[in-house]
Amino acid sequence: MKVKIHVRRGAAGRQYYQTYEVEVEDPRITVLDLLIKVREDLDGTLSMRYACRMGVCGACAMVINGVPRLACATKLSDLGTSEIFVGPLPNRNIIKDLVTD
Amino acid sequence: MEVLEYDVVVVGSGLAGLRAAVAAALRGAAVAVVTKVAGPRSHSISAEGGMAAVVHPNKTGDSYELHAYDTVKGGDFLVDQEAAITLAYEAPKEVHFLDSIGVPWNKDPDGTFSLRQFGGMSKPRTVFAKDKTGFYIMSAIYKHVKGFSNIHLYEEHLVTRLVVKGGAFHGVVAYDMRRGELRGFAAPAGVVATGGGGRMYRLTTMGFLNTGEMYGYAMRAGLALRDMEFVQWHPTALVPAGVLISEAARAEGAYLVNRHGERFMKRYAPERMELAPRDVVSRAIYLECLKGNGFVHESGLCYVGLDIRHLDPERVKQRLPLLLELSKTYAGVNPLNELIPVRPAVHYFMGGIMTDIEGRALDRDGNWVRGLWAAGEAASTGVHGANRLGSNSLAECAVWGRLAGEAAAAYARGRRPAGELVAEAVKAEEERINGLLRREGGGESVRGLLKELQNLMEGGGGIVRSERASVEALKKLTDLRGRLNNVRISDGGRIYNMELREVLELEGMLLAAETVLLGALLRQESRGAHYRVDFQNRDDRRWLVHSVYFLYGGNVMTKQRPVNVTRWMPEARRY
Ligand SMILES: Cc1cc2nc3c(=O)[nH]c(=O)nc-3n(C[C@H](O)[C@H](O)[C@H](O)COP(=O)(O)OP(=O)(O)OC[C@H]3O[C@@H](n4cnc5c(N)ncnc54)[C@H](O)[C@@H]3O)c2cc1C
Ligand code: FES
Repeated sequence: MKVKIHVRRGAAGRQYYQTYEVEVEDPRITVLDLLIKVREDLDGTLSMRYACRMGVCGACAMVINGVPRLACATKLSDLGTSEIFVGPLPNRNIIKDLVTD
Repeated sequence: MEVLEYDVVVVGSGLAGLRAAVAAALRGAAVAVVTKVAGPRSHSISAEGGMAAVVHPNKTGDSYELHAYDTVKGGDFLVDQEAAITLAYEAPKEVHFLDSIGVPWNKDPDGTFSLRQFGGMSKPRTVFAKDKTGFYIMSAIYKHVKGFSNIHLYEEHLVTRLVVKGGAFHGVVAYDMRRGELRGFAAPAGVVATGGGGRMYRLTTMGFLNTGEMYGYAMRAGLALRDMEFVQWHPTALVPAGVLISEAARAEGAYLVNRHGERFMKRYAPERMELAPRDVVSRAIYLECLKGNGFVHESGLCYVGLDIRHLDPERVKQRLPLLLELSKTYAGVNPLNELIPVRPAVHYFMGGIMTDIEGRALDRDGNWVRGLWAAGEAASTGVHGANRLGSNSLAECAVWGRLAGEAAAAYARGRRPAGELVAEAVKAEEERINGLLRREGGGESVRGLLKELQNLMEGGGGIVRSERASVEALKKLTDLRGRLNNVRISDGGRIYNMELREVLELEGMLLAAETVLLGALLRQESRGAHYRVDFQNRDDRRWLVHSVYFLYGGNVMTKQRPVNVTRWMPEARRY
């Protein structure tokens, strides 16, 4: 299955969307794993935070299809679509891409 | 360029680092905590099962000596026995300290601490807060730290160099990811509390930041590592993600079963069964898989079942809520009526920066590098020997975090930071990093190399080892070290450049990996977590010794040091 991920990137005032396409076998993949796949296979310049990858630490909080969630605890199948929009948490100073103050 | 001056600089903000910071701050020191995470998100936050401490000797007929003895035996007698005594005597004070800052320990109706029995412990002596102990501890201590005006947190600062000169510590250099600049921290005293390096392996229960580069950086600064070949595999990581299912499950009565529904542990540890130490249980699962008694996951991984279906569902919901949640999210199973698919994954590094039993960091000859301490998983105090017992690590982090923090503050009093020395080191590091960023060409990707590292570590430094496999892995590692020079960093910026961080991490990881593999190759016996198919027995005559690793002329060298056997003579280890 092809998944389209649109990531809101850049620093404050200079934001833009970049779209990546990833081939996925299992819809139970988490959004975090999708983004890691993007970093590994497509674009190492994408900046984001993640640490525990088990839904405990909160590092990977971001806006996913309009809702703030933990990327490591959100599965593709939970979203019911193969088109994903991710962006940094709102109302915060953006350091780069998905990383906020 | 900026060099900040403090009395004590602590590297790392896990339980060990924050405990050290509090202890030093209470003695009036100005403390900088320099750490690569943001907020209380160090890996300690993921600790689940609990913390070992003999808090109620009378309630269970327990004693400090028994805790120490269990630790020594669990570590297959490679433990420095006085370190185990220190752990046992000091841990209860730390439980009370954490209680006083608001950790919601589970309590029994009579107001005493609830206790769990962990693997290799001969009494229930593990205190806990549900199965999210680390989360509660880190939330409480982080908040506590924020209340000190003399502790300053520098978050998302990757420490790339320890500044050591003339046998003494002077400070650190860090890459401030948010500002994209290097910063120096000068202080007469330092505590390194950088945790473990699970990400050197493919399958690990540790988070993404546990890369273990500091093991390598420490050697570069002239420090020695000890016992790096002893890497703990936790028996019950969820398949396929590697997320940990706590030993608390087995402490609460869970069974391990193979595909025939058999509780196979009865063939490996007839007395302790599922609650044998982790090395024993992990090896048993490995062997069941080898014999074709395991299940096979769609990913190809072999696994066994963790069975809690006979436990009271109400009690499970009460005491193991995280287990239910993790099983559902990461394996799609409901443990109340299905088996949980589990297999071993890398979980803890028994080895680390060599210290004495007070936590003072040592060079290869055993001399103290003045002003420097190491604590927590990053350190090798000798307390865990060849295998750590579950729940002894949180105790270790708190105990040696405090001891190191207190001693560092006392040492710093009346001494001045050497700002110029650190400024020089910042300049040198600046040049080196600029070089990395400017490097043209080179077709290697850092994540590609990391994957290769993870695979070769599993091959040569896995649950079961052999001369052939370790030699093979060491060869591949040498090749990787060469290719590291051809890595290209595609991110041209300096702000939050994750590729730069990953390259810097990988440099240290490759050195650390070499010590693990070298030890796996050289130690011709099986002891604790180190198991050699070609030398299947423990050999006390030749190998009741610590392995020491250090850099000499840029190469990893090794030598041996005696184990301090002061109370209990080595005996056969049966469970
Ligand atoms: C999933 C899981 C569950 C566990 N459960 C238990 C349990 O129930 N009981 C128990 O006793 N043990 C448990 N353990 C083990 C225990 O949690 C860890 O050994 C312990 O928390 C380590 O704490 P620490 O302070 O040494 O390091 P960590 O908490 O790992 O912190 C390391 C710190 O160092 C920093 N750091 C690392 N490198 C650098 C660098 N280059 N520059 C700057 N900063 C750096 C990081 O930012 C971080 O702040 C568990 C382990 C895992 C993986
Ligand atoms: S990475 Fe820790 S909550 Fe997602």
